[in-house]
This record gives sequence, C-alpha cells and structure tokens, in this order.
Amino acid sequence: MNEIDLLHNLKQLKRITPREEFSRQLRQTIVAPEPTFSPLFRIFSWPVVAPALIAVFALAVVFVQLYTAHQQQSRVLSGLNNEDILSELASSGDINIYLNEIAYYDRADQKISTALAEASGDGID
Amino acid sequence: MASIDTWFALRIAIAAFGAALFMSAAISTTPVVYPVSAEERGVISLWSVGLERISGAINNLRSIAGGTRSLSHTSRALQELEARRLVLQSVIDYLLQEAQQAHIQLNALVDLDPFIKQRLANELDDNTLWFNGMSQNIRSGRSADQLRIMANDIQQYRRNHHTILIRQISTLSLFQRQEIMLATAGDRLEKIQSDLTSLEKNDIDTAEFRVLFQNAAAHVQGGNASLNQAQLILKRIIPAYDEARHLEQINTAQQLIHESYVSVRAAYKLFITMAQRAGGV
Repeated sequence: MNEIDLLHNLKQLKRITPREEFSRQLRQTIVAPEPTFSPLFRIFSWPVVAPALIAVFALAVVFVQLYTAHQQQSRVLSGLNNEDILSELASSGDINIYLNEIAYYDRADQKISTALAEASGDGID
Repeated sequence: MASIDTWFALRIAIAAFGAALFMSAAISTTPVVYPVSAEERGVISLWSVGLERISGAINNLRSIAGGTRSLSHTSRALQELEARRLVLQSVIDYLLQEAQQAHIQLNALVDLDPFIKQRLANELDDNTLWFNGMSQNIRSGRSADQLRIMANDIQQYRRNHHTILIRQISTLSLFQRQEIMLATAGDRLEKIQSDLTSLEKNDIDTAEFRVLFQNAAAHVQGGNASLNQAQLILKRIIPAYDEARHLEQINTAQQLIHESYVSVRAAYKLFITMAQRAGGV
C-alpha cells in the first residue's frame, strides 16, 4: 500500500456516517431519563445508610426491652396489685352468670313439663 | 439498581419482623381470660323469651278450655286445637334453641375426649332432627287427639334423650370455666407468695399478711378439692350411655363446682384485703 492509497482510504473513512436508524436509537438512549426510584428507596441503596438504619432500629428495640424489664423489676409487689386482682375477680363473674343459667334449667324444665302435661290433658271435646 | 433496592428493603423488613416478634413475646405475659361469647352471655334473655312464649301459650289454652260458652262447640274445639298446637310449637322451639346453645358450649370444650365430644354432638344432632320432625307433625296435626299424643311423645323423648344430655354438656362447660378460674387463683397465690418473700427480705413485718395468705390458700385448696370431686363424678358418668340414672349425680357435680366457685371467691376477697393493706406498705 503506497502513500496515495493510504490518503485515499483516509478520505473515504472521513465520509463514513452512521446509519439513520442507529443514530436515532442512540440519541433516544442518551436523552432518555434515568430510571427513577422513590427517594426513600434510593437512601437504602447507599452503602452506609441501610446498615445504619437497621442498627438504629435494633438499638431502639433493645432500649424498649431494657425499659420494660426495668419497669417490671421496679414493681416489687406485682402479686398484690389490686387492679390485677379485681380484673381476675371480674372475669370470674362469667361463672356466676353461668351458675344462674343452670338454676334456670330447673325452672325451664318445670315449665315445659307443665306445658306438655296441659297440652296432653283433656279439653272440651 | 432495582435489585439492590429490593434487597435492602427486604433486610429492613426482616429486621422489623424479628423485632416485632421479640417485643410481642416480651409483652405477652398478661393472664389468659376465658372468652365468653356474646351468645353465651345472651342465653338467659334468649331463654326467658322462649319461656315467656310457653307461659303465654299455656294461659291461652287454659282460657279457651275453661272459657266462654257463647261460642259454638265446633268453633271452641277449633280454637282449642290451635291453642294446643301453639303450646307444643313453643315448647319445640325452646328445645331447639336449647340444643343449639348446647352445641356452642360443646364446641368450646377443650379438654374433652374427642370421641365423647363427637358422641355428644351426634346425640344433639339426633335430638335436633327429632324436634324438627316433630315440629312438622305439630303443624300438620289435624285433631286434638293427635296433638295430645304428640305432647306425650315429646315429654318422653325429652326425658329419655334430651334433658340429661343438656345437663351433661352444661356441667362440662361449667367445669371448664371453674378450672380456669382456679388456675388463675393458683397463679395469684404464687405471685403474692413471692411478694411476701421479697417484703420479708427487706425486713418488713408480714405476719398479718401471712395469716390472710394462709386463709386464702386454704380456700383455693378447698376449691380444688371440690372441683376434683366433681371431676371424678363427671369422668364416671359422661362416657356412659345409660343416662337415665345420672341426673342426680350431675346435680351433685354441679353443686360441687358451685362450692369450688364460692371458695375461690372467698380467696379473692382476702387477696383484695391484702392488696389494699399493701397499698400502705
């Protein structure tokens, strides 16, 4: 290949243009907006924030636990807590209702016996 | 990009879920209370409506049977037939309601042998079927004699198949409630015991509390003894098929559960006295 050939080739290369279709696609890709995520999600994708959030959350949980344990410990007389005792007593009231219901069976039993006896008794005909 | 977001969101969610589990385990130290459904609470009013209907029907029949002479014989006979029908119908409606209620109670029993539970459920179903059939017969009965025979049949069927069954189920239900109540009282005794111990460690005089505590413990113990006796009776009679002779024993079991209940109430009165005095410690 001599010098003239080389120059000729270079001139030809200079004239090369992209195909219409290719340039259109490329333009669209460049101009198109970046895929977006909600700001909240984007925070999680930062390398430090997500583990930090988890750590903060875990710490909060531990604090709540410690606080609850402390509260329980400070209530020395939990067994003699009047409110607890009263609520337990109140829940036994259901048994009382139920005992009344059972007493009710006797009344119902007599009433039904009477009704059936009357219905099987003599009438006017 | 999207996959990284999802991954972090997932990690957060898992962490939150774990924390929630952890916390709920810590909080769930509240005592278990046996739930009483609205149906169960409303039973007495429901039944009293049924009984009122029966009373009304009886009075209606009486007033017609001994009533006015101004009507012709035929129309009085017709009126009486309808009055008789009304009495039987109100009784059957009541018995159906009773069976339905017993079903609810039976389903709520947790400790009963499944085979026995199934047998009792089947018997309830049989009774319901019989009552429903009888309800149709009552509606289609054409003469006073037919209705009289039906009244006798209902009376017999009820005595032989229904009354004892209903009593058995209601007693088992009562037993379960009292069992839970006693367990709660036992837990309460333990908690108070540890309170007294910690007071004594702090050199606080608990002699007065100790007396009350012993009394309360004796009541709870008595309540346990009564309930155990009731349980022995129930264990003996519930699995048996021969029901007719068991009514008296069921009554005894109910009486024992009632005594157990009274004992626990007495213990709770003492608990309250102690708690009130402890307020001043």
